[in-house]
Formats: sequence, C-alpha cells, structure tokens
Amino acid sequence: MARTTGWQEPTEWSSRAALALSLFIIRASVILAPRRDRERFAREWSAEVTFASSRAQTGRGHLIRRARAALRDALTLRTRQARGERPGPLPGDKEPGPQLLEQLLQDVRFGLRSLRKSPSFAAIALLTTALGIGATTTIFSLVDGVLLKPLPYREPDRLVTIWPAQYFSSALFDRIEPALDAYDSVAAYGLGWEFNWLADDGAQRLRGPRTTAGFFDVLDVPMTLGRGFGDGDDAPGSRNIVVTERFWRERLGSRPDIIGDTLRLDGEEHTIIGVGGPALSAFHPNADVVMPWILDSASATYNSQDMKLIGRLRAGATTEAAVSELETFIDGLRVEFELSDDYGQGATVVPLRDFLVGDSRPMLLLLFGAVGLTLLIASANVANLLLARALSRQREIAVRVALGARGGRLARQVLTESTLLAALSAIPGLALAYFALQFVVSLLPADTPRLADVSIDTTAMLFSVGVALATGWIVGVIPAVQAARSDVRDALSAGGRSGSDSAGRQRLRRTVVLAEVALAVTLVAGAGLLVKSFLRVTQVDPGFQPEGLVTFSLDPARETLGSAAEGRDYYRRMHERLRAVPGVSDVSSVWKLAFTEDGGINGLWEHGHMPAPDEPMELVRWRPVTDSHFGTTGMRLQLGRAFDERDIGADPVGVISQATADALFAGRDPIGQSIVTTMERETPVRVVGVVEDLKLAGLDEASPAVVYRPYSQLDEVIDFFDFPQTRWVVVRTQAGSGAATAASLRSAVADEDPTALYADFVTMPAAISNSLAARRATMMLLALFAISAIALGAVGIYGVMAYAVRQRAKDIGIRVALGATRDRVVREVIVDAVKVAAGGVLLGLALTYAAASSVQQFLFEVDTLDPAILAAAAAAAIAIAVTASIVPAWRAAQVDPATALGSAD
Amino acid sequence: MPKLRLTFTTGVVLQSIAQGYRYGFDIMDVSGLPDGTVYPALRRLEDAGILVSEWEDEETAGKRPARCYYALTADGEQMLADARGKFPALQWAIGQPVEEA
Repeated sequence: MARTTGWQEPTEWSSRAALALSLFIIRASVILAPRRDRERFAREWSAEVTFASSRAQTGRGHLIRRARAALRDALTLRTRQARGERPGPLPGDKEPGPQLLEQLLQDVRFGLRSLRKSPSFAAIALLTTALGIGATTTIFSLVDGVLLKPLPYREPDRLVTIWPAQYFSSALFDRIEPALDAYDSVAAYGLGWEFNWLADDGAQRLRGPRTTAGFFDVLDVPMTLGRGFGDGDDAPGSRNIVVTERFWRERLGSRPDIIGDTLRLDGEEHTIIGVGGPALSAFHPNADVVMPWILDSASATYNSQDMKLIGRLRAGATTEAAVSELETFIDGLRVEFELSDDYGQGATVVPLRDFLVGDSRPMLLLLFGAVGLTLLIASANVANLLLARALSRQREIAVRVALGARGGRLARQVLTESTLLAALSAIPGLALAYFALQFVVSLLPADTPRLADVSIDTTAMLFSVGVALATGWIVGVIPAVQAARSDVRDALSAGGRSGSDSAGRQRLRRTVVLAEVALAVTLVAGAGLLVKSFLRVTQVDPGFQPEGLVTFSLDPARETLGSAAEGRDYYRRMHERLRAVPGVSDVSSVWKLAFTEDGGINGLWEHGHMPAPDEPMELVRWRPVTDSHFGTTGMRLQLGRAFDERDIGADPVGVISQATADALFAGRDPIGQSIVTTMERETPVRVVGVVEDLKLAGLDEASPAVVYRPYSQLDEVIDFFDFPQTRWVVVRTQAGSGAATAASLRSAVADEDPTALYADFVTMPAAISNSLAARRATMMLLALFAISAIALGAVGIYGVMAYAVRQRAKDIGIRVALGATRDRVVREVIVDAVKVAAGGVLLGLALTYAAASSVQQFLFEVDTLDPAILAAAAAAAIAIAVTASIVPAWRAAQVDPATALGSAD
Repeated sequence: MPKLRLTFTTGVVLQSIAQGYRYGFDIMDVSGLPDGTVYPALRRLEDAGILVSEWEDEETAGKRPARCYYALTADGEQMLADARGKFPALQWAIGQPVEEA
C-alpha cells in the first residue's frame, strides 16, 4: 500500500525533469482522449505520475515509460468510443473545443466553485473590495451631484454668470441691463434674505432670494401654479411674490387656489402670483419665497452692492461674443466716469453651474483623489491575497495545465475570477455607499450648493459597476500574469523552497506591499496637513470674544414701530429687559453680525476725495451698531473712542476697523478724518475711533474693512421705513450659561413684545464652528481614508511577512540549530518588514512631493512639505510595519529546529 | 456492449484490487502486466459495472493531486470468484510490488 504521509516533490533535477516530461506526455495524450473523458483522464494520470515521481524506487526511465502508457489509454478510449463500446460525445458538444463564451462561463463556474471552497479568502477579499467600491461610489455620487450633473433648467449650458467678480448695485444693474444684447434675458439676484411673516399662528421667519423681474425668464423653471415675475414686478411699489413648491406644500397646505392670496411680510401684504417648480430649490436650497428686488433710484440701498448677475444666452450667441459685449460696456463706463484702465479688468462670462459650485470643486476633487488612492490600496491587498492563494491551488492548475490550458487561458481564468469577485462586491459596496453618502452629506455645510441633488442614482450605480470591473482587472492582472507564466513543473512545486519562480512571486508580493505603503504614506501626509491646517485655523483670533456670547435675530412687526424715535426707544427698552435676565451681563445689537449674516457692502472714500481715476474704490461692510456693541462683543478699541450719548443728535460719527484705517489713511491718524459711504452718500462721517479687525465670515479669510455707525444717529439720515429694522441682538452671558439662556431670552422678548419675531438663536462659538464645516468635513474624511490606508497596509505587511516566515521555516530552523538566538530571528523578520516599509516611505514621500502643489490651496499657514508632518507619516508607516510583523516574528522565534529539519525528506 | 471475456489479465487486475492494490500504478507494479494493458482493462471493467472508482480525499492527498482508486462491486466479487475458479494460480499471482531500479 502506498505511503501517503508528507509527500514531497522530487528534489533532484533529473527526477524533476522526468516528471516534467511525463506530464508533457500526458498532456499530449489528453488531446487524443474523447472529450468527456478528458478531465478524468488528465487528473488520474497526472496524479499517478506525480505520486510515483517521488518514490525512491521509481526510476526515471520507468516513470516515462509509464507515462507512455497514457497514450495507449487515450487511444483505447477513443477507439472504444468509435466502436460504440463507450458513450460518445454529448449532443451539442463541439469537437473543436469550447468557444470563448463557453470558456468564460466555465471560468465563472470554476471561479464560483473555488470561492465557495475557500470561504475565509472569499470573505476577506469581498469585504475589502466592497469597502473600496462603496467608498469610491459615495464620493463619486457627491462629485456627480454637485459638480457634474447639469443644472435642472431648460438648456442649462446657456445659463451664465455675467461679470462674476463684481458685486452689482441696483444702480449698476439699471445701467447694464439695457446694454446687453447677447442674452434672451438677464436678471440680478441676492441670496439669503430673511423676511418676517405674520401668519395666523404668529410671526415666522422666511428665507429666500430677492430677484429682479427677469429671473424666472432666465432660469425658465416650469411653474407648478401661476406665473413667475414679469415686466414691472421689480418696479417701486410692486408687492408680487412667488412661493416655492416646498413652502406651498408644507405651510400653505398645497391649496390649488393659492394664487392671489396674500402673505404679510415685513409689515406689508404681498400677493402670491405663482408657486415655483421644484427646480427652483436647486438655485437657493430651502427657500420659502422669492421676493422682488425693487429697483428704486430713490431708495437708500440703491447703491448698495449685493447682487449677482445671470443671463440666458441667446440661441446662437457664443460666450466670446457675450464677453466682448461686456467689455464694450465696461469701456463705456471707464470713459464716462474717467475710471482707470484697471477697472473691470478680467471681467468675463462664466457658466452658471461653474459659478455656483466652483468653490466646492477643489474640495470634492481632493476627496475623490484620496478615495481613489484608498481603492488602489484595497485592490493591492486583494491582489496579494490572490497571489498567495494561487500557491495553494496547484492541483487545480495542474489539471487545467494537463487539459491543455496555455498561459493565456490560465490568465483569462484568473482575471475572470477576480472580476467575478469584484462584481459580487459591488452589491454590498452599493449598500454601503447608500448609508455612507448620508453620513458624508451630514458632515458638509448645509449651504453647500446642490447638496439636495446628491443621491445614489443610476449614474452612481453604473459607476460602481464600472469601478468594480476595473478593480477586478487591476486586482487580477498581476496574478494573471503570474498564472500565464506557470508551467506544469511550477504548478506542482507547492512550497517552492528553492523554486525560482516562487521567490519571484514573493518578490512581487513585497513590491505590491511597498506600493501600498507608498500610497498610504501619501494619504497620511495629506490628512496630517489638513489636520494641522484645521488646528491652525481654530486658533485664529476672531477679533472678538466668542466665549459666552450668544445672539438671535429680532424682527419687530412694523406696526409696533411708529417712528424713528419710537424705534430707538423700542430697542432701548428691549435691551434693558434683556439685561435683567439672570446670567446676562451685557446686551447690544448690530444690523448684520459676524458669522451669521454678511452683506451691506458699500463703496468708501475719504470725504473730498471721490475715487481718483487711478484709485479703485475701497469696499467696506457698513454696520450700524448700538453704543455698547464693542464692549459686549469684546472688540478692542485701538484708537479713539466708541459711541455714547453725546452722539445723539450730534454730527455724524463713525468707528472704522483697523483694515479700513490701513486702506484709507495709511500712515496718517484716522481720528478726526471724514469718510463717505455709498449708503450715506450725502453724509460725511467723522472718524472717532478705530477698532480691531474682525473675522466676518471665516477664520481663514482676511478681515474685511468695516465702518460702524451708531443706530442713535441713523434715523436722521436714513428713511426709517425703507431701512430694515431687523437686528442681531448680541448677549454677553456669564460663564457657562450661554446656551441655557435661550429660553429666558426668548420669553423676555415675548414679554416685551409678543408680536416680534425671535429667531435663529445661536451661540457664537457654535456659529464659528459652523463656518468651519467644510474644512472640518474634508479633514475628517481624509483622515478616515488615511486610517483605512494604514489598516490595509498593516494587513498587507502582515500577510507577506507571515507567508515568508512559513516558507523559510526550514532555513530558520537550521539557523537556530546552528546557534542563532531567537532574538536575532525576531529582529531579522522585523527588519525585513521595515525594509519593505522604508521603500514604501521613500516612494510615498516622492509622491507627496509631486502632489504638493495641488494640495496647497487647502492648507492654512502650513507648508505642503511640512517636515513635521512628513516625518510623522514616515514614522507611522515604519511603526505599522513593525507592529504588523510582530506576530510573524514571534512565530519565527517559535520554530523548533527539530520539527523544521525533520520535515525534510 | 459485448460481454466481458474473463481473461487472465482481467483476473489479475481484479485480484490485485482485492488484495488492496487499488491505484492504477500500483496495479501495474504488482501485477507485472504490460503497462499498456492495465488501464484499458480498468476502463472496460468500470464501464461494465465490475469496478467503481473514487478520488482520494483531500486530506490524504495533501499537497499533491488526488489519485483515483478502484474497488470491486458485488458483480466484481462474483467475477473474481469466477476467475479464481478458472485460473487457480491467481491466488498466488500477486505478491509484493516488483521493485525496479
């Protein structure tokens, strides 16, 4: 009876050669055998020959002679079939050999079967690939929904933004609109307006854009009911509004007879002329109403620059023609107002979608690149798994080789299997993407454009399928090439202690791991840079004291404020009542507060020095405040004084920010100088103080120039009823009571004036934190990818090291027997892992260097080649290599020389 | 299918299997039959339901391909008995496997 313990391949070259020749003969015989017998025939003969080859008593010539008997066997089978003594070919069998489709189906079945036979491999590979595909699909959906999908308007590629760099005032719009001929229609708009709606159940805050009359023509949005704005709807006295479909559904009960009804907004009845189609929300998410932007040359805000301009290009008009038309218009302005040649430099016409989403593009592309790297790393791990597994599938490969499979056929089979694996992973990957996308969307700031359009739709599904197929190819190509080069001798040399091609395979796996480490280092460095930038940003001084500062917007009903004096008294009483609330130490108010609302951009010049021909006009934020505002918010005065009682009824005074002083009065003492803003064109204002700079919208943005005016002086110069009476009330609370005071503040407001609208309570630290949402989201996601990359890299290194230790068990055993200490063995394994990781680190640092310029825009006060971050990434990679190799190293140390040596033949 | 003739070759093959030499090459070794005769005989016998074949289980095979081994069916036992009756030398025909250099 045959001995079956511990079969080993023959070691002598002549025996191996004999075996190879025998197997060749068998392979040749296979072709002669009838088709239905071929697999059995090949398996049986190759098994016998293989077994016999290592028995000492089997001579080499004997083996070959036996193999020749296979020829007789095959011929006999065929003869018997021809004579009808054996079943013939099945109906439908094609003798020339299976066609390509049959082969593919065969491969798929083969692949499924072999996956079922190794469930742990299949589970790990499926999980890794599913995670990679899911993450990539998630980010792709984000990119697609925000950047790629066309805007939901008719012929969206004809929609453009005109002179996007310019803030338009009503005055400028009135001038430019008649001069533009290249468009079917032109409109201006401002986003983020808020309106006080006195509904039956109380005052509510509504949001929406203000637009000129042409807005609906430009977008050409199908209306659900009624009509959009038409000619005259933006003229003085117009009270026509459009409500959005969402508002109509949620607050107006979807009444079909809503047209003609009125809403009391800001104290006046406005008539609903239309219900906007759902596509309107893509332009201004969460809008409730669309209000007309009244173009009134008598209005105080006629010169306030808050609007952007859009247009729908005429059929056949090119962008170039539109740009040159714009330039002609600007030339005209230059001539008429004797402006410098710099004025309007770079004015252009930009597709609307790019303008709306352009700010998000860099961030989204960065995330897409990062997730792509992560997918590559995951694929590398699976490829390594496939390579490792190939070695344990010698029997199957031997059969296929004996069946006549050439290199290309074997390669195809491996590729089919890896593609099958990836295709199967696409399903859990899509499921993962569905949930992951919701998570990612929740991280991003709510005002990210088109965020509502982001979803796992058909495009995303097609993309995930495409990614799966591509991953299958990437993962399979290396093992496929390996398989193609295998010949029968390799296929049977399991273990491959000294087989040259097995060493090559091991080298290949190490190279793959090295590449993995390189990509991981790049990701870790990138994430580290973003984290460091984020920390730097959070340390920026906002220019006031946000801790303990809370705010809400207060919108008194028009009816309660009879005149300017009554308005002043109203707010004075409101402040006093609020100061009496327990936990409150000071109260002030301002028209638009930093980190909550922006706008009110004015031109500024020194009194008597209207902008000279070669001086562009300074832009400032114009901000009325109450007297205690600087004290309440903790803004420090650099020079002069703040506002107080002496200013009531006195000459107009103002306080400017440091940036304004630097811009207008560089080198001179600003105190006592007179300035003019476009808001108060006829009123020179004397500067009485300079206050420190403020961050208005973002900690990482430059401080804009600001001009502060006291509310107590404003009713003399501004038509009270024309000017919005909404203010942001700022409350300084005692330590620790910030958010808790919300309820008591609200009830204090309600006590003082039940009809006033109290809304948008927020603590200043929260408001500042919200402003960092995009940066924070990018950082967190990149960190997530970096951590995944490290985990995958660790798994990859572990796999390669563990395998190497197993293979070299005998060598290690010999060395230990010859006196090598276990410590030395452990050290060598770890050093080996470190060598692989070090190669990866070098490559990764080179990659980071190459990618440096594209990452610069995301960083804040951090250099792309920050040595600390790069060193940390390198150290992390080395540390991971050491950690991942500890278990294999320990196992190597456990090798018992006796056992290791005893397994030799 | 033509009826199987009970030849000495057939008997030797059956006897070898009955004595535990189940694998094709082992039968070749132990029986001394010409190499090219054994497998055709095995095929005929299997087709006629005299023998059944099985693959070695994976654990026994280990790293090498699994071999195919043969066993007698009830009909096979009967045929062997007939063969022993016809060729009395059969019972001593199979010894230790022939060693070759």
